[in-house]
Amino acid sequence: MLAILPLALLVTTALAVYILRYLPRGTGYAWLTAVLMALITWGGVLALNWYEPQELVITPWRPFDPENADAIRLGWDSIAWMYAFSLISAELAVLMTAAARLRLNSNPATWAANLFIAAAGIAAVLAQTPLALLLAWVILDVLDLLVVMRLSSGWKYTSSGVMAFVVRTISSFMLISALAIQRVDGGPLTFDTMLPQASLLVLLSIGLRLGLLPLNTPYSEDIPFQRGLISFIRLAAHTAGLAALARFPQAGVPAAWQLPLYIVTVFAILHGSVMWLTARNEIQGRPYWLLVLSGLSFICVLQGQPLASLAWGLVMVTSGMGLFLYSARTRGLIVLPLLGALALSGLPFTPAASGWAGLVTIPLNMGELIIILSIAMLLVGYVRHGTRLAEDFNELDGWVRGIYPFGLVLVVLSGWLAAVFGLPGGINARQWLPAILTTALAATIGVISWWFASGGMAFLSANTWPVKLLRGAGQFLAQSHRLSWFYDFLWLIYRGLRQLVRFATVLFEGEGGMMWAFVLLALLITLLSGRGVF
Amino acid sequence: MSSPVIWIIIPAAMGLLLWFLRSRQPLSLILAAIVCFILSVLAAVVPIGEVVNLGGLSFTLPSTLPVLGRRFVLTAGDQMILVLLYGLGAVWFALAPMAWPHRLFPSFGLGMLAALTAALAVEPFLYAALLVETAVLFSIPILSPPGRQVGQGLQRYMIFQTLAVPAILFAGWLLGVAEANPADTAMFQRAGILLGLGFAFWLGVFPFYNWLPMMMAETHPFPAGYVLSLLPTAILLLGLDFINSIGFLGDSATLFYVVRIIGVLMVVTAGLWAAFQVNLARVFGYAVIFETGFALLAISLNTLSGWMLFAAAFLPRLMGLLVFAFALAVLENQGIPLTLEGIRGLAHRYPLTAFGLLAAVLSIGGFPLLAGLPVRLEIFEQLATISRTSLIGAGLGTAGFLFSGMHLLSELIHSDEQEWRMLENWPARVILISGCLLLLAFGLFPKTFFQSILFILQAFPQLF
Repeated sequence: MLAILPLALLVTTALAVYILRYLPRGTGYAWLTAVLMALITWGGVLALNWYEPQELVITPWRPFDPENADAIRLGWDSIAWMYAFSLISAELAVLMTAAARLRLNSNPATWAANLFIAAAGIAAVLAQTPLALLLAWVILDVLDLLVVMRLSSGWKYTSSGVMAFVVRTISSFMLISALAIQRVDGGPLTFDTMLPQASLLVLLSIGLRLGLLPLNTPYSEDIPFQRGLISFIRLAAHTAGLAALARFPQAGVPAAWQLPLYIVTVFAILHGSVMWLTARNEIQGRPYWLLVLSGLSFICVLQGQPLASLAWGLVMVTSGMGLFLYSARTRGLIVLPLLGALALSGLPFTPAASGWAGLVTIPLNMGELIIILSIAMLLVGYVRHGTRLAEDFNELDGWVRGIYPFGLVLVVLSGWLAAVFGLPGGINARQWLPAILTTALAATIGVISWWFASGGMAFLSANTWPVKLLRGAGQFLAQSHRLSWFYDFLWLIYRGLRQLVRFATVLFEGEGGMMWAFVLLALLITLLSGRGVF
Repeated sequence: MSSPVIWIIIPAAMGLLLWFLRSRQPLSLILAAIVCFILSVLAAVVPIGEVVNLGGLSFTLPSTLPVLGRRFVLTAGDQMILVLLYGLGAVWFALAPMAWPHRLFPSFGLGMLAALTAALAVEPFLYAALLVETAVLFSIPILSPPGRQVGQGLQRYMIFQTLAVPAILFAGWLLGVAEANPADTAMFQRAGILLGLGFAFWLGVFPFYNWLPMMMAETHPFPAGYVLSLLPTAILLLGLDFINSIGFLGDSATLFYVVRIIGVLMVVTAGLWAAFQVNLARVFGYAVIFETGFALLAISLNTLSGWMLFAAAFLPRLMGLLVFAFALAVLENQGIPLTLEGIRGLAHRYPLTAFGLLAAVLSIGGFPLLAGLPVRLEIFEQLATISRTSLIGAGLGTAGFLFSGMHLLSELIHSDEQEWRMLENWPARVILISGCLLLLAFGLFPKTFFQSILFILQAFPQLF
């Protein structure tokens, strides 16, 4: 049961925080309780790196055909630990910096929701079997929808939530299809034993959930002013997919699908990095940040290096959260986004360094060059969003000024900590050339924009020709990648089917309906007789 | 005193008594619920055919009641079925005061239960046709109470259910002839076809199901929900009884092949029709067809796990339909049109009703975390091993039904309102929350909840 103790702690704390808000001065108590309990959980999760508890196994989950039934297993292997630690660090950072966003809908209800989501997110990364993953995914999806419904100020935003829910439901049912297909072989589906068809379905299911296959970013118009809760739930949802990716068998991707999936993913990454670079701010660019880093992890799996995907996933959570929570700014805190950018750069001895093994091999091919260019744009965008002017840190209350930087430091440094203790091979300098190339390219883009454009890098978000060009290229890539023609085709089928159903309904429910029923029966019997059934 | 007296005669007599008490609706509904509850508990605790020691009193409950040369037999194997049927009655009657407190519901509803129990118990089986017809006749005043216009759906319901009677009676007669001359296999085949036709009429099997959505649109959703929960359940059990007791049916690969094709056709058409449906009452009708299709698919597996799936599926099916019907009844009683347009933005005013509707539809569609998934998933997995085409068909139907669920979700929360109110009354809130929680609990812990219902299969020992 120790395996789910952190989850139990988080859920209990969430309930306590939700109730405490009704007390006099309840907000203060609620915040204190949330931070303290999250801190204890953070320490506990850190300790689990050295002490791996026994798996929680529920087998068989359902009472029919117990020998072949899929099991539910939650365990703390190295993949689970790394993602769980990054998630709990992000959660703690959200709570520690919450006081800086009290005017922006940060309250005990959203903190409680955060704690629930953290529990669900950690459950998803602990999932050692596809069935456990499926259930955890759906819990996260439902929480996401509920949060959007509660916070949304209009249908414009709620509809994005519904769209995301629909996409993720399709993804869940692809996973269910994989579970069914696997039974042809006789056994239950696990991450270690997957038939080629089942593994393809699992991969497509994860790709769809991450917004890659096909390209979909339902939250491109996201709820404003939600840096903590919304950022966290988006990160948790993507992490839930990435943890499953890291468990993918090394030769799990069917060979015939590798190249098409690679090309599609590379274009999604390029599109996402352009959109991130030219986004108005980090919150508007958030869906693209997630898209690009998920895409990089996906590429690692396609290249047969699933463990290398961990590095990009880790950076996505820790550096990403460090930037998304960095709402009140001052010159003294500039080091934090720079530290986040350093982690992202993949330079030797940084958290993302081990991620290169899954992306590039020397000599570089076209796809790898595009990936390097994309990471460079991601890096420039990160620095740009991290250094722009925003809310003034000095306007915060004194005690908030004391705790807020600690939250940011914690999440960024946790990324480094997780890399040292959790990444296979730790932080290393094995692949230095692509990192140097990327950093140099990023520096070139940065320097050009700084020296040759008035207003420094801000020109990237202004209505200038480079931006128009970049955005146009990004939109072109997106259009070609979004499979609009395919959706148009589906829409055509939908309308055709609707007409057919209406016609058939009128036919069968009209005056001659009973006669038509008997005609259909005769037809069915004739067809079956023709096949020798009778 | 024998078991058929307790579970057939007493409820029938109570139904008659409640007819005299019909002007006191709450009292008669509560009495009906109590009677059903007691009968359900008795079925769970009193062993039939064994010596029972009750303090100083010792007695044996015989399983047979002879009537005019025929017999009603309820053995120990049937006890779980009795628990299920009378438990179902207890829940529906207990909820009726909040959903549809009509004066005719308790007496005729109880009458239906007694008639269907008698149909399951009667020997020779061909008399079951007459008893089912009696139950159908009892359902008419519930579905179309005096003063309400009889629509085409109800007429077709009557016609199709009545058409089943000659088919079953003929089948019984042909079986008698065939048993006298076992070498004549053609006679067995004809009997099988007529039997299949009879059940197709009863269950509203493809292509005889168009009355289901039509009838739902014409009647109050609560009584229609009761009839459509009870009748198919009893008839499916009756069908299983036939397969169990008529040897050649169980051995016929053709039967299971045809059942699989019909099951797939029902799932696909119900899913597809539900996807384009804008009337929620009609979606309920398609949900019944969809569930029956999956029940047929479970039967078609003809393996131990297939029969277990068939039995286990009753729990999510009945729970899903109950929550669905109750939520629809709440809306109908508030005068809210049961259309997608009518419920637009409803989640902001009736959040629990909205959640109830959604949970029911998604559970029936096999959405993860809800009651329907464990059974659906296993059926998908079993189908994958025997027929990819059937798996694809079942998948398409499920996709269609879930599409309808997503459409419902989008309409329920489609609003620019920022305020959230809860306009349901307290009893409705408690019922809807309990229903949703049960759907969730069944979906999360299927082993715990589904284990007990599998005992239904004790009544059909020849199946495995």
